[in-house]
Amino acid sequence: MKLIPTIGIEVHVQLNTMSKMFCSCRLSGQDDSKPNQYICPICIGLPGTLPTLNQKAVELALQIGHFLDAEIQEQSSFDRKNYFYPDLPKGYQITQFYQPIIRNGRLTIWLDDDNSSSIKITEAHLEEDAAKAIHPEGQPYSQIDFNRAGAPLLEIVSAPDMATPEEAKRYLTELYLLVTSIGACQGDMQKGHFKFDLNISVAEEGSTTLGTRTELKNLNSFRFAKKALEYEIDRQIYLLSSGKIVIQETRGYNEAEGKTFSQRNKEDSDGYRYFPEPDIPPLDLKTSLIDATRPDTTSSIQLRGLLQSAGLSLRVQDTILLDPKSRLLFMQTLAIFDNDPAKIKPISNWLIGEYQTIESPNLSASHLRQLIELIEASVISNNLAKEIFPDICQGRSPQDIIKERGLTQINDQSIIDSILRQVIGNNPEAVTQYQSGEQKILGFLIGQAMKETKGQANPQLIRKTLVDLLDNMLQ
Amino acid sequence: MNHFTRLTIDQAHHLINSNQITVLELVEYYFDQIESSNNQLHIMLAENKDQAINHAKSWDQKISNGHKLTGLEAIPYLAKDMFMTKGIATTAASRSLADFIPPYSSTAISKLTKAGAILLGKVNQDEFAHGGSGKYSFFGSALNPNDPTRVAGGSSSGSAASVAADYCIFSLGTDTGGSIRNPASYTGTYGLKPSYGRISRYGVIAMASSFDCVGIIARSNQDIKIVLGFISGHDQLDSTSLPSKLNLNKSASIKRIALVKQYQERLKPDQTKAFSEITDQLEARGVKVETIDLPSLEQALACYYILVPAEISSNLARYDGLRYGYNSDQEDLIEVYKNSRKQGFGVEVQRRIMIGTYLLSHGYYDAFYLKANKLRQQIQTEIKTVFKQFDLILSPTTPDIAPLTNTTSIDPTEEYLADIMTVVANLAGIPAISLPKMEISGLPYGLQAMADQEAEHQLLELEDLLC
Repeated sequence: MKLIPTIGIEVHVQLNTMSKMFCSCRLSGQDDSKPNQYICPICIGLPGTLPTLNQKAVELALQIGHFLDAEIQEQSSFDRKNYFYPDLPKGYQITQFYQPIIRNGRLTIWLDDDNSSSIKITEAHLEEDAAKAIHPEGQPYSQIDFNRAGAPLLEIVSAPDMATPEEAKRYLTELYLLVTSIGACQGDMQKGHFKFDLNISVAEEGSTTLGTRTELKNLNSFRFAKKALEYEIDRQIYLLSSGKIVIQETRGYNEAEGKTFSQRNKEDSDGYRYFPEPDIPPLDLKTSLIDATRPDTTSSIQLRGLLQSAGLSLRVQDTILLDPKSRLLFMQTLAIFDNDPAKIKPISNWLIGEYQTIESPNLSASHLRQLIELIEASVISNNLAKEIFPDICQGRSPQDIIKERGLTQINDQSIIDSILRQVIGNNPEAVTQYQSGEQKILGFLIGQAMKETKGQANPQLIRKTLVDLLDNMLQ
Repeated sequence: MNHFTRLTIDQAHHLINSNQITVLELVEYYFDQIESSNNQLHIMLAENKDQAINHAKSWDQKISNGHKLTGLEAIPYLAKDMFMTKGIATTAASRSLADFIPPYSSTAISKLTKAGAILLGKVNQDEFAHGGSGKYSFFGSALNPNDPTRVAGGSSSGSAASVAADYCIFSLGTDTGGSIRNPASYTGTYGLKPSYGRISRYGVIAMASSFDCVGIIARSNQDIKIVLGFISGHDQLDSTSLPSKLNLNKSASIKRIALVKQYQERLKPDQTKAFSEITDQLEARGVKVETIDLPSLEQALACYYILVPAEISSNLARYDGLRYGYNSDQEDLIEVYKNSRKQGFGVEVQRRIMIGTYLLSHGYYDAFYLKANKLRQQIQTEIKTVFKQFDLILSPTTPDIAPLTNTTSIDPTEEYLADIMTVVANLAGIPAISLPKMEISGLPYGLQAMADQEAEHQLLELEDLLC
């Protein structure tokens, strides 16, 4: 029998709002290290306080929903999830259990250049984050930092649609790209802006029911997510193939040991005594309002589509999309080219090579456009452009560099003619070789001509003129 | 009898503006009143004496400069201990909050401060507003000033008793299922529970959020109107507060009044007699009085005692002793939770938390909570229909006059029966008032009127038909 894993993922996206979900406290400040500085009676749950819904959080949720091709729910509402824990000041979390704001979305992920799969998003719901519990080592006490308490989250729940750790990683990457590219999430993984829980089970191939699942909670690294999944799948397969059973439980992942470990037996939703939150009236979103929040920002989904349509490989797409700086530069440069599809490839080419190796590059969209235009207008050659590219990445304009170094490309036919005559005269052997059919020698002759002009000659013009001259000599 | 006895807002303003008394003398009169009988009646939980006297002096200063008092300026009042009062202990009459001093004030208190009213202190109540007698206070039961062998009613026991005992001109209470109207009925005061959301709940300790209403207890219908005008209105901090503005100038016309068969049947002969004198009076004034059948009201109490404990169990979860309030001081987290709550909450509070927790548990939610919620909607619909034909629903506020302190039952469900006529207004979110218009054996017995959603103006006109 063959055991096949099934993976479903819940992602907690911290929404990029100014204030918290239910009060006007600042979401984060210059100095996050100081505990309990962004708090008020509401987010620490003092008696008598009431929640007020952050409209911006709703808008951002709707934007994400649009890009997930999801059904935005005109009617949604909030519920209380009741449990006791020191990081939960009210004794309940305000969430959306019965009527989430978003249902039935999907996200396309690419496994390689040819294979994609569409991951179903079951739902996404708004909720508030808990506070942070700190357990100082060796101390007989714990501390609570409420800065994060009440931070706005959108929990995006996928269907158990993924079969491999790589697929899960691609899903997480793609979702992360989406929410950060549209500005709905700041995306600082260290600060917990994008956390996820992974649900894994294995079952016999062809089985119609899923196996007993475990949940790996609170991860915030794509790489470790993949590793944790690999370990957990092996563990479950080992258990089942040696006649043991998988216990439904929450497990953590020890990054140092590369192993998952049992945290607690999962108390399922039965224990949370969900009921409608009476302090917040149901959300009634009119269709017009839903449409109004349809954003005009370019998402990573659209960007990937553009790169694909230009015939660029998944590797190139990822290089540009996964690096926020490259992505932004790509978008800006394409924009000032009036989104000319013919420019996608040249822009991308500049962003995937040396650019990626330069530490803190200072390349502006207008300089990159200038560079591309100078090449296209044959003012400079590609080689020359490559030569001066590091300087451009230091913030200097291509025009200035060219002027300063006298690097303008030679396009004058009469100059090219005379240089080539000289080269032909100096290399009779090479000419003979060419005439006897050795095409490769052409490169040598072009090289000689480029050398003569210190690389400033238009290489296309050189080649064309050289071939013409040599062919004429034959006749 | 002196100048000061049982003043209304207008009377107090008149005496002060005509320089017959000072604000300081008025405030001192109330503290003297408190001094003279509070040991017996247990009405006060906290006195705000120094601040109140300073506040009074500053008003007297303004008056000496020619200022004439209007609105609620310099009017002394008391508030139930459910209202957050910045810097003044707010306990909900519970051990769990016995030492709690809030860092902020509720919207209602802030509005009164802005209007210039003088807060004299905080008054007793049933713990967390759970109860209808006042006896479930951690600090001892507030007694009925009309007859201290009787309860003051509840849960706003101190709010009603303080007005009846002349400790203030008006008081703030809360009403989740009758907690203002019940003690108003027992103490012979005016008690208004406005429409749900009419007055902001922000800063008021939550009992059952979808039922809780802030309301007013006073010695006159007019004073209720004045105070309501100042503290009502939409509050950005309370998403459930009504967006519409209160309009008491709408011309009210009480032409048809409904009596409810299901209530009438429960009355004893004395109560029936007292009540029919009222209805006779109304009919004599040309009002049509009809008895209607509202069968769903048979289940109103059951519905109420499912939904309310469910919300209570969640609303009271925050009192875990970790951040504020009573802490049992143990090493183990679970033990802290268990014992802080066991020792911090009284018996009735624990009972309701247990009931609510059970009702929301898996497998019972559908059977109880959802069913009760459907019933609530049905009651709302039926009540709406009634108000298409009638202007008011009239009944006694309580099945009986204030019970003797030593006869209250040990069976909590029997106590819950006292709420039979008041809970409907909270289930439906409609406004209701208790007017001190009846007496049985020389003790006050309240008359309750309920009006349609947001039709407080109708309630506040009834008084004129009964003078």
